[in-house]
Parts: sequence; structure tokens; C-alpha cells
Amino acid sequence: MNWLVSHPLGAIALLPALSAGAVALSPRRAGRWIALAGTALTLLALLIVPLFAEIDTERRLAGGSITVARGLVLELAMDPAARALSRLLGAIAVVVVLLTWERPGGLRRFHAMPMLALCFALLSVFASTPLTIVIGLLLTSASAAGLLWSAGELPAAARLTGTHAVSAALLMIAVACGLREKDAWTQASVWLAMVAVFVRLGVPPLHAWVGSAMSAGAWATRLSVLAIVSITSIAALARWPGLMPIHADAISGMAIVGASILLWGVLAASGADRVTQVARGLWVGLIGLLIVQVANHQPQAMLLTAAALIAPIGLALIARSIERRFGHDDLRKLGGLSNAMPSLMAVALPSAFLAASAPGSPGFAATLATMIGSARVIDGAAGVTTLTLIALSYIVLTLAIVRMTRLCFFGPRPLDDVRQHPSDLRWWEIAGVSILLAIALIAGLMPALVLLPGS
Amino acid sequence: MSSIWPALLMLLAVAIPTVWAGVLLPFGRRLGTPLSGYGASVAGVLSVAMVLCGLVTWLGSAGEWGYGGRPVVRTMSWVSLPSIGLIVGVHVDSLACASAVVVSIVSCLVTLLTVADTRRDLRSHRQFQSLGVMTSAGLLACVSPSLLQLLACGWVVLFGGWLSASHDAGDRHRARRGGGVLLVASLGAVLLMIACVLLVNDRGGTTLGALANPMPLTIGLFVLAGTGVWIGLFPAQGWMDRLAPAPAGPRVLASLLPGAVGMLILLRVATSLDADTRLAGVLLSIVSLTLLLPAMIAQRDLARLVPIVGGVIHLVSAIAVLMGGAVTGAIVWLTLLLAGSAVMISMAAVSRATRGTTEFARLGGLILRLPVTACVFAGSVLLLVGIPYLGASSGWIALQDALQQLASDQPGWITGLLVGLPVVVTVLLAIALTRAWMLTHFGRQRHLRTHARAAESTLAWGAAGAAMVFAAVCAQPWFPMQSLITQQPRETHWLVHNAPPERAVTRPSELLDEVEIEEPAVSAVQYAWGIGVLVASAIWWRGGRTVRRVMSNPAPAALATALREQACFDDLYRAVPGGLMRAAGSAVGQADEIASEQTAHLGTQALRVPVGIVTLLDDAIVGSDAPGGHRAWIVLAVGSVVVGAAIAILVVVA
Repeated sequence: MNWLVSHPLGAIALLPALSAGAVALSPRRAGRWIALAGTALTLLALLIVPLFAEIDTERRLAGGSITVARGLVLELAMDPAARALSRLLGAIAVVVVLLTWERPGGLRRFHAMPMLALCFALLSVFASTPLTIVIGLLLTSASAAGLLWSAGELPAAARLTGTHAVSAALLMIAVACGLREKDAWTQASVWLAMVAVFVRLGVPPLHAWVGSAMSAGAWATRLSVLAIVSITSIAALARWPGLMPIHADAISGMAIVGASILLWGVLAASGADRVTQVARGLWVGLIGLLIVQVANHQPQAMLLTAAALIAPIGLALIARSIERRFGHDDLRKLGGLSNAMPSLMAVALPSAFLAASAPGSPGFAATLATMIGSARVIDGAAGVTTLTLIALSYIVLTLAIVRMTRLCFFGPRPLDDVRQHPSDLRWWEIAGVSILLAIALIAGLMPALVLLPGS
Repeated sequence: MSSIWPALLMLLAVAIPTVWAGVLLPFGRRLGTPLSGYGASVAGVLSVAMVLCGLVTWLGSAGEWGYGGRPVVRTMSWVSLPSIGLIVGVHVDSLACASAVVVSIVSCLVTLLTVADTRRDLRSHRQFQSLGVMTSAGLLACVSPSLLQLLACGWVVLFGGWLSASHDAGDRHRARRGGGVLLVASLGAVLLMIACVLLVNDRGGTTLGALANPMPLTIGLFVLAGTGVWIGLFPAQGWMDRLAPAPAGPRVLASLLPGAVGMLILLRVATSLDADTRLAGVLLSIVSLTLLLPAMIAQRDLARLVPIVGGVIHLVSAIAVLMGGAVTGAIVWLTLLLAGSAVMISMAAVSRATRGTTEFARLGGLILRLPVTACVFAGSVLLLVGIPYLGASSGWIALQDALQQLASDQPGWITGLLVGLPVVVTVLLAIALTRAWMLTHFGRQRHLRTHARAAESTLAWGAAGAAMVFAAVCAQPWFPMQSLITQQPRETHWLVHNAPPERAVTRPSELLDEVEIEEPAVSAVQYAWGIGVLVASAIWWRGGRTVRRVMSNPAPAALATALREQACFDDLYRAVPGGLMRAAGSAVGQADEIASEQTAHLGTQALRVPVGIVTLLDDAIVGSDAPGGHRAWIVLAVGSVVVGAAIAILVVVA
């Protein structure tokens, strides 16, 4: 443990866990302030420490390393990608605390578990060797499943555990293959790792856990699970040694598959009957975009996609608030919520704006960067096909968001709905989601400043 | 003076409406309707002030940058991905200043109108949000340094239009119609994104400098297609109809600004599009005008007339840019935009006065209840159709000159056809708007309830009147904005910021003192068609019964109904996509040199009939014994009868 605590990265990663312990031992009312202070301190440390620490020539803030066995090394480091993703995680942790502000009864459960998950997620983001990445992902998956389990969502926890178990098995085989240090084995290792991470993220047909996680528990639970799984997965994709060298023959096929998954996801969103299904469709679509980015070798564009994933997460939170008040989030039975719940509308409209990948959103930046990368890397019919699929997906995505917004927020209230005056969002909910949306908006408006520092 | 000031002032002008829209998002409901509207008005006035300060700073600079020198460019990298030069920021030059002044003032007046329109509506703070969003995006588009930023601004403007058109708590059908606006935004954005991708790979960025150099056919077509979707080029012009459900004020802005962003893009790429792309754009514009003009004349709803008029203005401006070049295009666009906004705000003032009633079947006989609004409406129409010396007349004259020059330089059936465009469009605009004016204010009281509740609003007709005065004044040669546009040397680098600092340019302030302004010679044709419009209006007014009798026949009635409802457009949409490309290819093929030579003489003569008749008359009188002082009056009388008769025939046919 000496290398871990002697270095700032280890200390930063441990801060949320220490705060979780303090929350567990403290009185209820004081606990939320301790939780807020712990998460804010973590975020502050993530922002400040890289300014003062020594950075090497590759702009990495190196952490200590331990050789476990021959070829197996544990190492933490913070390169620009890890810096951006860890800050995103820190900000989301603050939002999670805000979202649970008025729940003193479940304070320990609602605060301690997400903070423990944040600790593991930070370790996973800082991991820079295959073994560290695999361990980080395993711990994060376990904490995500624990979150769902502690929220009483056993089916969702079971789905997530099953999918992530497959992913973990593939990852461990990938590490084993990588130890052989021969070209074919290295290639196999890379492909296995890639498949494992995409399985973990919810690539079709293994994306059932995404929908159930989006439908499970309170806002804090949904946000924590989705955020830590997505950000740690993208960190693994962006930081896997060698950055996924794909054979030239496979690039075009992989890009077309990714673009097809993107189209598939947004098509599903455009025909969805529930807000949660719309969010899941968008999530799957963004996973498809990630695949295209991996094929085009665009690790920095993946960071923009990580910020873009905030949009479906925001829609999942909105679905939760609608569900809590109406007992369902069925678009066919909703309508006119813009007047019935103006505060919800105030956060839902920016979420829809972000989800539609409008200019100014990280989704737009990610889409444009991916299109530019595809046009450069992939020649001929495959390049045109990829571009066309992405362009078509963009239009269908708008259709999905227009449809959802119209059915949910505009038009008259359903006559058979007795809840003509449902309660609106509370201030802490508005504050929490506003911070989340502000992060996404700033990331979309100024991605060069926020998400890609020093790159 | 530091070059930061114009950029800073423009950015402040962009930021102020944005900040107020952001404040209204959480607090709009608590602030209430009058306060949120007043705040939006104050933000609009401050924004105008900032833009005017920026204009003065730009004009007053005697250094390396400023009017006649280099533009002020402040940019930052938007995405710092390896070797992807995507920048955003501020680019202040003459075109940016002129367009920002127009956009800010029109937006401010529309906000004032909306305050009057929605005073009793508790939910209208959302309309001020969308107005703020549209204003900011429109202003940011004016000072955009890259195609990427223009793309983003156009999308956001249409997003504001979608919000306005969709938001109505009581009508699900309206919400569904409004969704089409956002889809159009998305379609245009996708096409421009592909253009950006190709530009980045071809030239390493999407800056105005990259746009200024000749671009390959593929990129040019994507830019034209993306722009055309927002301007309303065929087959995308149907989206403008979707704006009709929006409240009066936002409807005006949402009708004008997307096209304005499209025009800015076209102006920035005007020097770099190749001949084939220009030809494709002109052909599509003509097809679009062919569809929109009958729909405008046969329209039976004032609300739907607003976006159609906006579309016509931008299509004519697009033709001016593509055929006449950037400077002529800028003159035509800005003058038509000014006068058109006055007309559209006047229509919105009528809509406000009748509490949202816009069908002609329910209007009529309102002259006694809305005398001031009626006068402002009529004045605005005269400004748009080009009453000599005022309003858009300078734009029409510039367009006519440019097209005649083009026809003589490059004779062909297309250039010959285009010579008649200004006359045809102004006449049809005059017919449609006069019809709307008369159906609204004269005749019997068609709907007693509407008539009873109609009431003048000082704020509404004040906004419309201010727009009219603004349009009239700004088009004058002595006014700084007009001189900013017209006194610029007609060189391509004016719009592509490569102007050498040593170039001597007459400043507008110096122009007032030193330069003697030559009064443009007003030809008999101008007087003739002006009076012809009045004659046609009189014929239409008094001959309404005859027209109605004709229209009661099954065939004309069916045709008119089809045009009104634009159902024929739907059929075209279904049938045309493949045929359009074949027709465009065929047209391009026919426009080659051999075909042009064969058809030049016949086409040019055949399509110059209206002008030719008056010219022949003039020649005949010159050869006769009539005294010189009476010659002009004879030409005037004969010309007005000819033009009036032609218009009357068109009216009856329509």
C-alpha cells in the first residue's frame, strides 16, 4: 500500500472511500455535509493536483507501480484522458450527493455506496496497465451491482452482474493472451479486451442491463450506476496499452458495424413508447459511435462521447421523476407536462437539446469528429457508407427527440389522468441535474478547454 | 483603439439576450408575463446599442483594421483534435456589422410586438426565451468566423422556432406540425456537417478563408444543399409552413432568421462556388419561387403568408448572390430583409390586433377599427415592392442591373429568363400583399366576433411603424448602413477579409461631406409599374365580384384550393426526388455553350416583353412630334395601362 498512499493519485482515489466511512459513522444530518465536503474535496483535488505535480514528457502524471509477477504490473497514472474523465466523475459525485440531500432516512446507504463506487471508479480511470484496468473494472462492476442491490432492484442487479461477469471473463482471458507477447496473441488480447468492454457497456444484444438500470431505483442510483460503468469503460478503451491497434482490413467493417448500431439505437429510440426506452436507444446509439471511434483510432473523440452519455442519463433521471409522479413513463399516456411541471420542463428541455446532439452539445462534437475521422481513415464505399449511416442517424435522432418531447411535454394533458397538478421537482433535484447539464453543455461548447486539456 | 473592442461589443450583444433567456428558464414563471417581456425588451435594446457601438467602432477605426482595412478576427480552437482545424469566435467586417445591425433591430422590434401580443398570456415567458435564443444565435451567425459556427447558429435559430411553434398546451396537432421545423434544422445541419468534413479533409479547416477559395463541386453542392434547406430551396420549402402555429412575433423571427443564416453562408462562399453549383442553385430557386409565388397569391391565411414572404425574399436574395456576386447579393438581401421585416411585423401587428385571428375568411372591414395598423401595413408593402427612392427599391435596381449585365455578358436562355425576375416577383408580391391588405381591412365584416374584439395596440403598430421607418431610412444612400454596403468597392476580397490596409476607402462620414450623391435616374418603367400596381389593386378591389364568379367554376376553384393547401406540393414531394435530379441534370446540359448560342436571341427577346413594350413606346414617341415635356407623361400613361392590364390578367388567372 505504500506506493498508493505515497502518491497523490492514490490519496485522491481513497478520499471518497474515507468520506463514505465518515458518513457511516456520523449522525444523520451531519452525514450529508460530510459527504458533500468529501466529494467536493475530491473534485478540488482532481482539479488542483495536476497543476502542481510533476508531469512527464507524455503529459502524464505518473503514479507508482508494483510488479506482481513477471509481466504483471499494477500502475496508476493520470494522462489527459484520465484527467478529463476523473473530473467528470468527481463532478457527478457532487451531483449524486445533492440528489440525495433530503433523504436522511437512507442517508448512509445512499451516500456511502455511491462514494465507495466513486473510489473504485477513480482507481479504474487511473489504471494504466492491463492488470490494473481489469481489477479496476471488476471492482467498479461489483460496486455498481451493489448499488442496485442496496436499492432493492434485484432483477437489475442480476442482469448487470451477469453481463459484467461475461465481460470480466473476457478481460481476464485478454490479459492472459497478452502475457504470451507474440503478435497473434497480442492481437487476440486486444480484440478480446475490446469486445469485453463493449459487452460491459451494453452493446446489442447484451444491452438488457442498460434498460433495467435506467428503470431502477432513485435518481442517485441510476446516475451512479450509469456514470461509473460508462466512464470507466471508456477510460479502459482509451487507455488500453497500444490503444487498440486495429488491422487495416478490419477498420472499415468495424466502422460500418458501429455506424449500424448507432442507427439501430436511434431508430429504436424514435419508435419507443417509454422515456426510459428512448434513453436506452440513445445509449446504444452512442455505444455504436464509440465503436466507430475505436475503429478510426480517435481516443479523444471517445472523451466527448463520454460527456455525451450524460444526455441519456439525464433522460433516465427525467423518466424517474415522471414515473414517481404518474406511476409510469408511457409516452402515449402523457402530455402537456410543460405546464403541469414547469421545473421538470426547465431541465428536460436542455436534456432533450443535448440528447438531440444539437450544436453546442458534446454529442454534436463527437459526431462531427467521428465523421471527420471516418472520412480520413476509411476510403471508398465503406467510408461513404459510414458517413451516410451517421448522417442518417443524426436525422433520426432528431425525430426521436422531437417525438418524445411532443408527446411528453407539449399538447394537452390526458383527460383521463386525475393528476392534473402533479408535484414538481424540488430544489436539490433541479440543482443536481442543472450541474450535470451544465457540465455537458460546457463540454460541448468548449471541449478543447474542458475535456481535452493539454492535448 | 484596440481591435478587441468591436469583437467585444458584438459578443456582448450576443450575450445579453442569451443571459435573459437563461434567467427566464428557471424564473420566467415567477416573473410573470409583463416583467419577462419588459426584461426581454430591455435586453433587446441593450443588444441593439452594443451592435451600434460595434458598428461605430468599426467605421471609426483609422488603423490597420476597421472599415477599408482588415477585419477583426478573434478565434479559438473548438475541438483540439489532431490536425482538425475547427474554430469558433468572432469575425467583424462590414458585412457582419451591417447584418448584425439589421438582425438586432428587427429582433428588438419583434420582441416589443410580442410584449403587446402576449400581455395576457401567463405562459408567454417561454416565447421570450425562444426569442432570446433566436436573437443570440442570429447575431452570433452574423459575426461567425467559420462554417461550423454558422451551422451551429442556424440549428439553434430553428430550435427556437420549433419551441415557439410547438408550444401550445391545448393543441397536440400544432405540436406535431412544429416538429417539422427541428427536423429541417437537423437535415440542414447534417448536410453542412458533411460539407465541414469534406472541407476539413480538403483544406484543414472551415474558416472563412478556407471557404473563400474555389471549392470542388462536391463540397459546393453540400454547402448549397445545406443552406438551401434553411433558405427554402425546393424541395425543402414546405417546412416554412410549419411555422404558422407560432405566435405572431416569434413567427416573424423564425421565418426570417434561418434564411438569414443561410444567406450569410451563401455570401461567404459566393466567390468560391463553381458555375455548375451556381446554376443548380439558381434553377432550384426558380423552381421554389414557381411554387411559392402562386401559394402566396392564393393564400387564405395571414399567418401562413408570413413565412412564405420570408421564403420569397430569401430565394430572390439567393439568386442575387449566385448570379450577381457577393456585393450585389448583400445589397439585395439586406434591403429586402429590412423591407420584408417591416411587412411581416405589420402582418403580426394585425394578428395581434385581432387576438390571433388570421384567416381571411374571418377578417375584413377592419379599417375603421385598425386605421393606424392599416396605414403601416400599406406603407410596408410599398417599401417592399420597391416604391422609388425608398425601401427595397435600391435592392431591386441593383438586382435588375446585375441581371441585365449578366444577360449581356453571357447571353443564354437562363440569363435572359432571369432578367424578368425582379419585375415578376415585385408584381406578384404587390398583388399578394395588396390582396391580403384589402381582404383584411376592406369589404364587409366577415366575422362579427373578430370585428368586435379587434383593437389597436400602440406597442404593436409602433413596432411595425418603427420597422417601416427603419427600412425606409436605412435604404437611403446617405445613411451609413447603405453606404457601408453600396460604397464598398465591388471586389471579391471585401467579403473574404483579404483587403490590403493601404486601400483607400471612402468612409460614410466623409461621404456625407465630400461625395456628391448622384440621384438615380428613375426610368419610366419604374413609374409605370408603380402606378400599375395601384391600378391592379383598384381592379382587384372593384372587380372582386367578377373574380369570385370566375373562381366559382370547378376547375379554377380546384386549382386555387390545391395551391392554398399546398397539397400539390405533397404530390411533388412524392414524385419529384428522382425526377428533380434528372431535370437539374437536363437543365445543366441545356445550359452549355451550344444550347445557349442557339436559344440566346429568341429567349432574351421573348422574356423582355414587359420592358420591351415600354421601351418601344418610348422610341416611338421620340420619333413622333410630341413635345419633349409631354413625352414622359405619355410613356407613363401608356406604360401604366399596359402593366396594369398585365397585372389584372394575372390577378384574374390567380
